[in-house]
Amino acid sequence: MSTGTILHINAVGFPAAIEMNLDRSLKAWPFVVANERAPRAVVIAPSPSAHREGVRPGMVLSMAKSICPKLAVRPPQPELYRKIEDTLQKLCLSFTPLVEHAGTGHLYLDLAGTSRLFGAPEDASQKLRARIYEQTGLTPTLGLSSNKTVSKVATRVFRPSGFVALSANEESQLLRHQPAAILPGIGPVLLGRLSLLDIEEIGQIADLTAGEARTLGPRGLELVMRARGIDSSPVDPEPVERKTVDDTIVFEPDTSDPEIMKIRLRSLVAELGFALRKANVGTHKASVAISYTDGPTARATARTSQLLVRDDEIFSLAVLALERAKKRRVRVRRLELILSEIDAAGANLDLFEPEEIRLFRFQSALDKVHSRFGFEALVPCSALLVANSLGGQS
Amino acid sequence: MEAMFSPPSDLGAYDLRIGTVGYEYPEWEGVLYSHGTDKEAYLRLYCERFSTLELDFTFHSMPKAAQMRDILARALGSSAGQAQFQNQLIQKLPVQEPSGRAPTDFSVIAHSSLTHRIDPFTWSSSLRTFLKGIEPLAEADRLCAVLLVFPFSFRYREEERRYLDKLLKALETYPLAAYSLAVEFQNSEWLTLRVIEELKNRNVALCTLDMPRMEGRPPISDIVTSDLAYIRFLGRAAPGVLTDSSNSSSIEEGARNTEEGLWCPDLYRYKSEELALWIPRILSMSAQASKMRIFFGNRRKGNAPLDACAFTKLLRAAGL
Repeated sequence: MSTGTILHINAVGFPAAIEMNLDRSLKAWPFVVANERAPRAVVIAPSPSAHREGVRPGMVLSMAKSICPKLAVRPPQPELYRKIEDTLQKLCLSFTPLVEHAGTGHLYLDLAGTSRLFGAPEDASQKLRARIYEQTGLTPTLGLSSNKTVSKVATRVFRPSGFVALSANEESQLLRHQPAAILPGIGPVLLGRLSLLDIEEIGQIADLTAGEARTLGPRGLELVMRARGIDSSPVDPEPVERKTVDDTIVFEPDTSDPEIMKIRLRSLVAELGFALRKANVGTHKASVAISYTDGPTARATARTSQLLVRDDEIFSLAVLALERAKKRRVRVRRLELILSEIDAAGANLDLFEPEEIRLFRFQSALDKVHSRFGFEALVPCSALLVANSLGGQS
Repeated sequence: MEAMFSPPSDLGAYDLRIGTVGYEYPEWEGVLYSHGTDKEAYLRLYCERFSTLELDFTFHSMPKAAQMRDILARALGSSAGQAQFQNQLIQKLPVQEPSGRAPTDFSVIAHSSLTHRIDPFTWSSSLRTFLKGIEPLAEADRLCAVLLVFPFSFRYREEERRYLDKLLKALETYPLAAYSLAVEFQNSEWLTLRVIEELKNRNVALCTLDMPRMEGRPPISDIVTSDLAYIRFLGRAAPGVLTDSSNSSSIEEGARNTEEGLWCPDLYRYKSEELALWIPRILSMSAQASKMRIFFGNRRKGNAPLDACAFTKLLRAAGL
């Protein structure tokens, strides 16, 4: 039985683990990393003993203290965490060039082709584990399988510091009886719906027929594939922060009308959003650059912690960036939209919130039309009006 | 690359002990014991070498208090009889710990009536008998853990889950001196988040296994679920055909297969590099558990004590 080559490294509670290594006396005490001086401080990372007491990341600090009165608080050291995360990434890169940074403390590695240097993937993983411990003191969870979905589920099962290496036969066996909640792409709302259908385990999702899968939502089939341990997404070594998509519009004639700018911005969003959805990714950040008629250029960005996938969501963020950038009354000649901080859609999102299903279906239908007939085939009325009144430009 | 972190210097004081599954094997003469050693002296000699022992005869026959007292007496006599028996030990095998170490402790495999041949009407009385039998070890503060070894046929089904829940509750509430509980699942279906979280809540160790890879058996994995980390090396002989083991009553189910010539993990001798790859796993586990017990079950030809000593040497060199 040969093991898969996709390794997921999950350093759960990354800052808390680092603080514990710096001060070993903390091991016996529940503590959190949080900025106590902030007006509405939240828990950045709880220690394992605080986690056992019910303290969770994102919890308001006062609530965490009421749950766990003995809770100690350590101020965050972002510089140190960044340095250690860089070390972690460099260590991974010394094993394979295919390293994907998938958020703080999360890395995917493809160990295919490294056996002559480091042995079988499970042995290479152990060597990497040893080096991570030596260099950083961290003991992350390591999950090894043939794809990213299974490796991610595996690290969620064996957290906070376990290890598991799965062969193709073992993958579906491991997935089968795991709670549905830990399958990437399932959030609390969909979980509620699944529970109404009496579905509690990943294996039950895997058993759904194509017709049944569609009733879960527009991406139901994809979810069933994941539940069966099928995921063809490659380990993408390009750093998330460097991934961007962008497009530009030149106004003809120049304009200072905010409505026209928004309409043109919407068409940019439609094209870029379509490209993102095709790659099954979303964005956290929109940047707008405007070049004024008299020469100067202004830039502004808007960011959100939520991964945005639909055009309407991305458009709201882009408008915010545009409003921040447009500070002068001078006419604008050029408008550029850059979408960055791209991340895999589905992994961190509940894509099936009932109130949003209609919007997703609409978006999905729009994408199908654009894919088949091009962008000119279906455009918002407002865009048509602008195009007609201006005689067509861009 | 410069290290930002220095491994803790107190790892040498960490309560990590390595031993074997059982000790009473005449074929270990010439390996651990000298040829012609009196069987009565085996345990005493074993305790000179190793600081922990997994008793497996308790799986096949219900332990009796008198039997355990006898084991204790023979083990306790190890220091007194050191000079007398030293010449009966094979000198090339190093003594595991320096003199003055803690006395050998025992982990006991639960009787088969609690794990393999479960009778819904009599298991609770079997449990009482079993615990009564091992009580002398607990009273002498020499009982480290009770290990429940569940066979491949013990599947992740409602009935079995309910039984496990009842069994663990009964074990937790039995008024015996402090000891740890460990469970070993031979069926991979049990490796679920729900089970792991529940074991953590109850402070029950999930036994980590090094064994041949076969469909349906636990994958290569390790996770710490309690204050105790429990690891068993059962050999890695190349797997043949997986025979139907549902009726097997042997612990590792390898014994019967060996006779059928299919696979033979307990004859396996671990290579040094295979053991070396365990060091990061042990380091990681030691960061979470306050004590660790490691047992070698590849007993044939004396491989278990040889591998236990080799592994001890490797871990000592790694600062553990």
